[in-house]
Amino acid sequence: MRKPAGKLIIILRVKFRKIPSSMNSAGDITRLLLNLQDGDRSVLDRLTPLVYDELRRLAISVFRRERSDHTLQPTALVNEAYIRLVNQEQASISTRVHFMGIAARVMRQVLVDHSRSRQAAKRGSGGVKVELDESQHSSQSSAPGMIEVNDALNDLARLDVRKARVIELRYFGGLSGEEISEVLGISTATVTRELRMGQAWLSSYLTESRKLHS
Amino acid sequence: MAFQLSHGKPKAALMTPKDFAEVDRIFQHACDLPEEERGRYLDQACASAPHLRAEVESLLSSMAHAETDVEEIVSSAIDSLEAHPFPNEVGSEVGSFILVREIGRGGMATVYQAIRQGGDFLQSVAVKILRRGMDSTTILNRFRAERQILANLNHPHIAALIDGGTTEDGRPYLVMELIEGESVVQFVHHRNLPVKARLELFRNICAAVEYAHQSQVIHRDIKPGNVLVTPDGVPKLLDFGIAKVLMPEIIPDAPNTETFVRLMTPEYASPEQIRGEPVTTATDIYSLGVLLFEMLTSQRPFQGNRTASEIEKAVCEETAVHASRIVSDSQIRSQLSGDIDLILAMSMRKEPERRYASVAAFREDISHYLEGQSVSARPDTFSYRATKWVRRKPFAAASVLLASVFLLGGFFLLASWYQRHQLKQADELLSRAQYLMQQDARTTSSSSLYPGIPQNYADAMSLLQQATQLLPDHAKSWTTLAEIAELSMEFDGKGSPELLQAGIHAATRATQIDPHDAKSWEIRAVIHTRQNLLDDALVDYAKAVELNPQSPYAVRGYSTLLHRKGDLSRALTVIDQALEGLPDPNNPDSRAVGVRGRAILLVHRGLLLHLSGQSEKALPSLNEAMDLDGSYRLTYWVAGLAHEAIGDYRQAEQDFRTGVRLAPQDPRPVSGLAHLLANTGRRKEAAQIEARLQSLLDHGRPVACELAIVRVAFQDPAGAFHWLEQIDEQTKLASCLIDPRLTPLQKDSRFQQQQSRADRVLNTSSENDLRTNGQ
Repeated sequence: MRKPAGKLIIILRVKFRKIPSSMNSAGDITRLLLNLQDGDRSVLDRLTPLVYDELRRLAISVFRRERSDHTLQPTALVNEAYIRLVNQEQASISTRVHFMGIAARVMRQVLVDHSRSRQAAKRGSGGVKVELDESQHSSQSSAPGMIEVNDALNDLARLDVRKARVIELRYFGGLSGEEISEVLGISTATVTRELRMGQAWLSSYLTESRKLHS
Repeated sequence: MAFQLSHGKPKAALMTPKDFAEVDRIFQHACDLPEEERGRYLDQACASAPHLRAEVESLLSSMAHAETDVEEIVSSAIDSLEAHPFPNEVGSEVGSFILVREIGRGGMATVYQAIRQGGDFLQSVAVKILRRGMDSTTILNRFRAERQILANLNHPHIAALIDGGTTEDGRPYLVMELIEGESVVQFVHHRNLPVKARLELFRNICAAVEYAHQSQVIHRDIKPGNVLVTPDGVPKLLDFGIAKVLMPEIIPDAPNTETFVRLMTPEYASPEQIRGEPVTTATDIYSLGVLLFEMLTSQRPFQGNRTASEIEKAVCEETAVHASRIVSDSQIRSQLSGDIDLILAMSMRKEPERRYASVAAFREDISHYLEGQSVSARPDTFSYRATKWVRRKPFAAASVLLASVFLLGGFFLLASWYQRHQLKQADELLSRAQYLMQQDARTTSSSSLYPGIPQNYADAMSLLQQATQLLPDHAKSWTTLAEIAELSMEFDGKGSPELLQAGIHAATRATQIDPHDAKSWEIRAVIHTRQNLLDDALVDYAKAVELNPQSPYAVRGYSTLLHRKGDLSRALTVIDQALEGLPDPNNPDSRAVGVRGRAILLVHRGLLLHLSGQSEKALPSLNEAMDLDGSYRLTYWVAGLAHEAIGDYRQAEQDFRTGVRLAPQDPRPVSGLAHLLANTGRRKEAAQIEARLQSLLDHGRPVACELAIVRVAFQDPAGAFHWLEQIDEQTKLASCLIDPRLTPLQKDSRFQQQQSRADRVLNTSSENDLRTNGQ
């Protein structure tokens, strides 16, 4: 079933975005996002590193602050990255939502990369640093880390890709139900259902994982 | 279900997707029930699958606290990452080097100091390695481009490339000359160098940038951190990581890194970079100006207690303070005030075209200052030059009257200087315009001259118009102008008469100046085709093809036109001649060159035969194209059309589906499939595919045309005409109306209306005037 209004919008888009494929060699992020909505995969390829760089930079600046001072909020970072990277005047609500859709994935990647590189460092270097890390680690050994959360999401994706994506958008991008429904092209009711199952599954997975590793 | 500890994974992960889906279904239903009814429901729902019940129950029980649980876990996982420095890979081996120390970190790569393993001598180098997880195609290309750029740059003031390769885990790396020095700003500050020495050092930096520009490379990220000075005072330019290759044909692999500039430090970024506008050599001139400013004052022009976005705003809007105003030392202040302030202002002008025309000009002005000559960065008044000259040569000044005798001779020198100067300027305008052209189509122009075309095209056109005014015989400027006009027509939609006229005028001028330039003839042909002046277009195409018989696009356009004029056999001859001339695809040396061109021509040959009702004969060409280049997507579209026409629906469906798979965004195979399905009674499937069509963009011909074709298969002539009416442009309508699938519409009177709309010739009287004047 197609709503007449929806049809109109689609036609308008076709009219407004006459970008020959030979021209898409560059452009600002806003433009890239508009192209992305057309499903141009190469755009995603070009957009991701940009968002990655920005999110990572923002994340590091938070990591460097005093611990007590600040807690890292992925959602806040994603929002800040959006404000910094996207031309607000040209952006529409759907541009924003698509950006968030990408940024959620990238945010997760930033955090996993950071976590992995920390582990690699623990293995790689000796001395004082290791001891510090160990003490840190033992005090928190019962809590699953970023890698476990990531593994859990990967396992969930193997069972049901969409649920994993919904969780990612919610927790790493801070998207609302309506925004998720726009990114994935599903109804908000479906988002709610996907979320409640995904959360319940993750919660039981991670609780159990905590038991397994303690 | 027992815990499977051996896997080390929670049991929730060990379900099959099928079980998971079932659990999901039961869980969702149970959630919607009041709690007291759930037990009964589960008894019933899990009767046939008792092993799933425990799963569903465990999910239901964790549901109440699931949301807070997940939130907490995610945030504590993130928390645990905080306050930990990012680690490095010190100690590992990369190629024949051992990483010793981390030197720096960029967005995508980390730079280490490294030493050569087991070498006879201890060679310290810098190794730049792509970070893990940064291996998207784009980044890899960018990294490769940096390597290629560095390999091509060989200059004493540019850090040299020593080696490169790929790490064991597949990440590319570069090995570069290690510069052990400090940033140029620290260097001059620590050594407390006099102004003169600072300027001399700066001249050397300019020489490096100038060399890069001559090698067609724009650095785009010039800042103190990227200009190091060795202890013996030799400056070295580093980090071509976001450099841009001006003429991509020199380094074909270079990706367009335009999008990365927004990550620059705003203090050193030029206004055009901040605004996301095209970057030219003038951008480096700006950053050099900022660098010099900081070298002289230890401050940045837009410093102060500002946030990044405030700085960005200031860079674009405010005029920088004079360097002389912010230094406290009165002696230095007097050295800077005047010429140096002017030189800095000139290099940091907001408008790229008002800065120095080249780094060389910038550097020469510094030299002029050092040698006490007049600098060009000042309004060129006679009295100014005279004062300078009098100060430099007081004795000569006395004989100034005598000197005026030579003025007459000077005129001749001046004239030749003027000519060279104009050529240089025209070249500069041309290269800026070409740069603009390579950019993505930007926001629509507000220019009243050519409404509706992208701003960067409009800008490029006005630059080129300047260039052609400067040097009316500069063929390349005319060709490029025509090219942009042609490109712009895509956006302008209807092809406004002004644009068509500007394009045809430029192309005509170009062919007059250089009658052997096949490209100009081709552009002329394309524009004439748009104007529906088919006879003129045929003449132009004939010329273009004669000059370059192997150009697949010219041959394709020419043969299309010949076919449209009803001369199929001539069209086929032209294609066959081009095919003969193309490099042999069986010869491995020329394979890559010949294959795609050959495929294009073979497929076009097939298309023309199909359109002429000889679909059977089209198949051999199409098969040959498929064997040659299986990735050329149009092959499958045309093959589908041909198979459908001869009644081989199964093969046609397969072809269209392959076409859709290869190019999901191309509406042609999609509509082919929809038409075929509707035609063979599978209307429901066809309707689904048709719905997708509307979200696609024009490829070759309008989406509206594809939609009209599909509507015909649905026996809905009203719908078909509705879409045909949406096609604004005559040429595009004409190319649509020849599709044999529209034949059922031909008996309808509305089809004749469309036909006459397509055949109408545009009003081109002024263009004709021009031609009579010009030839």
